[in-house]
Amino acid sequence: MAADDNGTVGPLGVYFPHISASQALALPGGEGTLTANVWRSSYVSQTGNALTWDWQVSAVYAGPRSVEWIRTQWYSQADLRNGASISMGLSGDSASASYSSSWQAVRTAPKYWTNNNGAKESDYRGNLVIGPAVDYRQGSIVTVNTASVKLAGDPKIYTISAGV
Amino acid sequence: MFVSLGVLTTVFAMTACGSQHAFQNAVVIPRPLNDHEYVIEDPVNQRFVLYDMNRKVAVSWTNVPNEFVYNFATPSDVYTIGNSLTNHFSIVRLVDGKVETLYSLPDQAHDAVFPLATNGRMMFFLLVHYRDDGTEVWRHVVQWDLGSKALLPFQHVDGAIEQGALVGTDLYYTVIRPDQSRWLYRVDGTRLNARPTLVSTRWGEGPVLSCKGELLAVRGHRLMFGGHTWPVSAVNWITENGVLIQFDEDENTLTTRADVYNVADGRRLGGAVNVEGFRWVENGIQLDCSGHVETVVWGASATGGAMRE
Repeated sequence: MAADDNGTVGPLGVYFPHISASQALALPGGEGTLTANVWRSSYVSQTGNALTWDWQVSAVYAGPRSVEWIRTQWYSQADLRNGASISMGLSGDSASASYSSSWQAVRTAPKYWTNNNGAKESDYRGNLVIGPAVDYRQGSIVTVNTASVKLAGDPKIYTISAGV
Repeated sequence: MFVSLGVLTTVFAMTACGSQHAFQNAVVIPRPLNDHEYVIEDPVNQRFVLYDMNRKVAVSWTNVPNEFVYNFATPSDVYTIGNSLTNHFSIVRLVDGKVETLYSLPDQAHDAVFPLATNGRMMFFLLVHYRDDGTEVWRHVVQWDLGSKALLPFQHVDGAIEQGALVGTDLYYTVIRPDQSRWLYRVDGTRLNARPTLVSTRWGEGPVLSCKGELLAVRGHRLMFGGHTWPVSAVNWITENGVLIQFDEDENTLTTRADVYNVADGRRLGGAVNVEGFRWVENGIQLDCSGHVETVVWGASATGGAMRE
């Protein structure tokens, strides 16, 4: 496992601080390695009442076998209250807290993206939005990515998760 | 300053990593807690799901890493379940929303079993044996004898067997060759000592499905039958009377979608998105979705329609 709090340089030369994690699974029989990667910006931007993070997930297979399909599946969770909502920016993934002043762990609906064209990687990215900001417990955001792969000729499928 | 933060985070993460196998609230097969909850199967994520019929939501599911459910490509309430790293495979049956174990493999550490083909009366599995390090030693096609609860191997069937389908009592199966081509064989499913016949050395990539006494052809990642074609999906099932059921990712909602077709005329009988899992009903399939339930029914001639609640 590796986790780091570092940065990357965007296309316009802008520096993006982020936190990321990777978990690798060595597949039985020396068939290769499956890695789950997850990335979220360290700094949250606030516009009005909305908090926004950038996020990115990927599943990567490294090994000699052909890939039948490879999938990345993700969700985020945060402590919210008073009807506040969380979304990773995708249709139907929004979730809300109930109208109570106590903190509740609220999780977005899981989504997935599969490559079945022989590629050895599957990735997705987007923006995570929480609002209103006052009903988000600072530091409680968690993003989890689960990588899965089916190799040609192997009846089993394999999975590994990483979170930040 | 930036490097120091990175090192600190890495140290913290590696410390936490030591407990990754202590899975909290680990569930292999969820159990219903009341009469409006029942277990269904999610065929894309290959897991059992506990579904709440009143709230129309999935409430829990198989959450042990690398524990997966495997199914036949024809309607059946029999599945296999096991762990891709540790094996521990069993044959199970999903009855009235509950899972019961029919048979656990005697060699839990080295054997794995996967559904191959069934017509409801005859049932064949793929039995795979592994060394301690996970490398594969052999594969056999085995017949499941429910009475004696025994897996009986075909004596002359071997190789890297992948998929299978029944046409009458003939078992068709594919074998992956060292050059990655697929060869199609046929063997008499009623005789364990039968010798297989090579049918094709150019079988395409894709599922092996049979309908109305013949195999569906696969060309360029499309299924073909009677002048109609369908793209190969992540999951492809077919009934004896010619109903094709497909599950795949819906690119608009990034959830699971299901589509049901009559292969004889190519007509779409129904389907849904946001599918959490399914269960077989008489002459139909119930698609349990996030927020609603869709039931697609068909008659003996595979005519039919959909009903939403």
